[in-house]
Amino acid sequence: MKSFELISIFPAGSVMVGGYSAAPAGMHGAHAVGRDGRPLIPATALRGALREALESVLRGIGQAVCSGGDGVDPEMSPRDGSTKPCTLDNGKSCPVCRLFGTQRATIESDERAFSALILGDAHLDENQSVHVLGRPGIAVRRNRRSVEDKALFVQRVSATPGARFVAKGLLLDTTLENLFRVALRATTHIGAGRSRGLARVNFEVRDLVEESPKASLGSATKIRIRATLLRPASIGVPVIHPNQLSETRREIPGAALRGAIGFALAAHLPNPNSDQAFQDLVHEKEGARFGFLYPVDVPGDSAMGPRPITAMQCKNHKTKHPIVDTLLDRLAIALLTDPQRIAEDKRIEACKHCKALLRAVGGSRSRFEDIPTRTITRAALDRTQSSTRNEMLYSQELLEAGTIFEGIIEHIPANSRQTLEEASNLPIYLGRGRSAGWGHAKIELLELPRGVDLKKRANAFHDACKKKFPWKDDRAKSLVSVTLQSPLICSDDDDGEKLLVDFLDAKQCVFKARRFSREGGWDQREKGMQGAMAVAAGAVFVLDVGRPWTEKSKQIQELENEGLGERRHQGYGRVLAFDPFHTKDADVRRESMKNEQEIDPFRKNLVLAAESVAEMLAATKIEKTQLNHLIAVCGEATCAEEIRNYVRYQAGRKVWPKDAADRVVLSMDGVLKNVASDNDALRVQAWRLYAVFLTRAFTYHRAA
Amino acid sequence: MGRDSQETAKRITDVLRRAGKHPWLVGYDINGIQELIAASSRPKIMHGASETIRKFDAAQAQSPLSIFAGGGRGYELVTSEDDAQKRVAQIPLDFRQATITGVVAAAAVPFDPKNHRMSRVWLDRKLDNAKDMAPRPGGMIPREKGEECEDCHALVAERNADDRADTRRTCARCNQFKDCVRDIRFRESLKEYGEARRLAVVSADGNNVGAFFRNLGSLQELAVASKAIAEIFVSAHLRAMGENKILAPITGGDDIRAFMAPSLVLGYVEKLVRGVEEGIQEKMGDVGAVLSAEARKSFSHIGIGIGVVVAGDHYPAARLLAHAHDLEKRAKTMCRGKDGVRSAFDFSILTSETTVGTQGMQGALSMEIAAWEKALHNARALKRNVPAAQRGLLVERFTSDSPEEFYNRFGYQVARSKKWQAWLDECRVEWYNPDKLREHLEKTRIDLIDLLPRGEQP
Repeated sequence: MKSFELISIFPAGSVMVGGYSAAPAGMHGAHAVGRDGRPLIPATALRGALREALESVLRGIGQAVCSGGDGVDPEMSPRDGSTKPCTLDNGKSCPVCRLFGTQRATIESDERAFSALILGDAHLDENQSVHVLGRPGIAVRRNRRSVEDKALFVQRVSATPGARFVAKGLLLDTTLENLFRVALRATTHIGAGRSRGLARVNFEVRDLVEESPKASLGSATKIRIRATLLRPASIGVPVIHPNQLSETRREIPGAALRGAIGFALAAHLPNPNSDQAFQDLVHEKEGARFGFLYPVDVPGDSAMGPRPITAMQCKNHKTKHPIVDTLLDRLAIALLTDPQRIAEDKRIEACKHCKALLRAVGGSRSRFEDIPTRTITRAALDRTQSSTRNEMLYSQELLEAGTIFEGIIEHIPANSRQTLEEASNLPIYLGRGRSAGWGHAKIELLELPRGVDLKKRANAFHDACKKKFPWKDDRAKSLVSVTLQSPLICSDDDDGEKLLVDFLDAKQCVFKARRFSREGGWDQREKGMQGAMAVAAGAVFVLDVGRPWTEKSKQIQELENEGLGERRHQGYGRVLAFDPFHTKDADVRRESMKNEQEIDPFRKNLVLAAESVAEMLAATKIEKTQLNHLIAVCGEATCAEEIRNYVRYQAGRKVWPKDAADRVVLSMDGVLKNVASDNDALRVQAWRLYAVFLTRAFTYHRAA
Repeated sequence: MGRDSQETAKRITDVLRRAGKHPWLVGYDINGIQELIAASSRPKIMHGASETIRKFDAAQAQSPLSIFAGGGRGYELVTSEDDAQKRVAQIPLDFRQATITGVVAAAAVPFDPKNHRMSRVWLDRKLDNAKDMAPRPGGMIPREKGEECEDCHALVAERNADDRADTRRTCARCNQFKDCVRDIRFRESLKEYGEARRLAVVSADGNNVGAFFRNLGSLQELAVASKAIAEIFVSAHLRAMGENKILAPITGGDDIRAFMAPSLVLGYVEKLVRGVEEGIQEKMGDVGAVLSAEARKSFSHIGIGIGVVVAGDHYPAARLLAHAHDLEKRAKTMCRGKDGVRSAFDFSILTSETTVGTQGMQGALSMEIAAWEKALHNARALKRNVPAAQRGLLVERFTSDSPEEFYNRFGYQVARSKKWQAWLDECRVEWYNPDKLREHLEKTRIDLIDLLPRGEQP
């Protein structure tokens, strides 16, 4: 395996790769730009150009190669639009397919990836900037040799004379390096306008030294994992309509995480098939369980996972009024028989703040903002004609770079910890399009957040039940609520109720709120597609165990540790008993809302304080990840002093320049002097906002 | 009292009499109706699904003590608890048989003849619970790509379509839906309802209808109001559709979904809104006598919220419907509160690279006659006066980091361009007044231009 940087240099003119970024009104196309607005060359365009050039060269010397991985040699058989796995090299893939990949569902046991070349988007050199300009064009009617009526078009492009775009890449099979270099030499243009002398490109390759492992798991068998997308990602949905829009999931299934780590290790280890630690790690029965990763706003939040089905939000003020949980209200409808009381219970359907109706709200419990996505449009090329294939335009939805996901890996075998640590420092690609660099994520292995222990959770739930129901006996104490933290796959005649009742030997299930979701999963080694109808994450069951719950506490603990149902190694079937969301989270959210309202008068000062430091900070060598760490520390801190202590510690370690650290602390002191010294919640809230503003301003100044 | 309402009220009174001394109220509500109808993007199957649901509702309405059934929802009385439990078990079975995969929630509560409203509220809440307790969807999930239904891609293909010209292997559900509309001719693909590879998808829903139904007391009121609302919306939709090539698979209750060419959108939306608002006025005389004063008041406030998405015709129907539905909900937020308007319209034009979502969009449009005409006038004037290449400047209002800088530049542009001035003069905006200029830009939805029919002379 070899890491490298591919530098694309555009000696003249401008480059235009469409289909990646939305064209502004008045324009008819736009060159690809990243989330920061800076131009880039999408990996798909780079790979397409390289592949096309290499195919031409090899055909020129009489080698049988297919066209774009369709398995058909156009020199030998006419194109009929059909595709098949490439077997042109004596029953094996042709050299171009080995380098760039071919269309197939599984890989052979001696292979480590679908494509030997992984190449990410090429980003404009951070020391360069380019001008944006409108490139006009006109469609010409060839038969009349005149201009088409109303066919003037304007494309928004970046003027790129001398611009350098840098892409990071990995060559998994170094025996193909010469072919890769041939492709680079043969490629002369990228994007549109080559007939007008535009889009001319030269390449340089620079080898990179791989980083050594840093993470340390100690003796933990259960850890929190954080994945920060460095590149857009496409996480496959279970039902795909061919040639249409390929959508992305909003969470990362355990199967995708397991697959990404498995592929990274398979490519990295000298002999993965006989590496016991690796085999133990990915063993289906005894190996680690790779949980679902859910998006988070603030890294480090202890409340990871999907919202329960019983969560609801105000219809009129979705973002302003708190999300509430309606489990107890719905339990009342199931258990009470007094219609008068039910009809009078306004809580069930109305927002407490404005009396508007409540509506169900899904998503992740630590993510309140929409998850940013981008839609790109691609066209399959007919390489024999160098033009787009008819009816082969398709769109793909991608999760934007920068999105952060968190989840849990548990049951890590003792001898595999080191291997998992190594994996976290390898390039990890989540979801589809690995060879185009999609889903490239930074992986952090962290300690588990401090959750509330089972007894406290149970007490809170039973206290809430006592308030809600007019029971005079201890009936509430025999109720156990179970919330699915990930989808559950069980037999067709069950929805999880039977499994739970059996596991806890419960008297009955008194309430359940659950829906069903299609689950996919792709076993690239053996099994191919693994479709299933699962009970959706967030389902809630309330069981009557027929005796005080404390007599079942062992089973409940075991249930939380072991989970339920099938495919647990892929994160399915994780459960939480007495989920605090049903009793406490709504209050927490309300508290946070109160703080948000209290913090409002300080927002402007916080922005100004952050802006005043950011320019100076951007001029230092500090890395942006340090600011992300600061956001994470602010997310976890319980008092402002903790954060100040962290900043000074980083200065002491010389990770932060001392001047910068002092100015950060000083600028915050200026704002916090107006906040009561005992109001820790508000002071921490101020730091959280400040850290976000500082990061934004830093990014701006660094880019400028 | 109008004749229609009189007859309905009389029928319900008779139902109440026949329901005996210990009646139970049974209700049903279909789960995921939109997903079921848009599971396949083929017009014939979508229409077949819609027709299957209509027939199912019609069958429930035949129940001797039916109150109302339509739009995938219904209420009926039964004479005993036993009968109620039987109906609660039977309704989901009937629906599953009709749709292969479909799920319907059913529930029952004891009916109090002295307090209809309380019984109905209890039933509605039990139905909410029942929706999350309903059985899993039916159908076989394919184990490999080769097994997939070639229409919906979600279930196992079972047999070739009966149609000899159609050689695809499709699932039992798609086959059943196709059989349901066997004799009706449909276009093969949704693409044929669009133009220039673009398709518009409409999602419309009654506005203030939920509040209106919450104000209803008796079952007579419920039956009369449900019937009236369904008739008003269907009639407004048919009027708006006219002879145009429009596919409208769902028109039940106050829900409307339709697929059409983008150039038909403005005409359809305007006629639909006026049809609903006028229909409410016309029906007021008929239903007014049955309704309480409070219910009459909220009936007169009923309007419609409409969301439209225009996108490439290669997007799956289900995704476009979901996005149009989000836009419809966004439009309806304009109708809330004391100053809310009665009907509103929101839309989004997706180019192939635009992200599907509502973030960063301009506000919805009021469908009050004066406001709507002004919005259209502004759009036409902009198209007439300002060349396309210059109009892009307006978009920078959303992309510029500094609004102050944008308005500074825009003011400069207006000051030196007669074309911009002509547009603003036609809109009667004092462009030399920065505050007025800013206010006008904030209210103008320039993307409305893209909905104006192509051939239309602005």
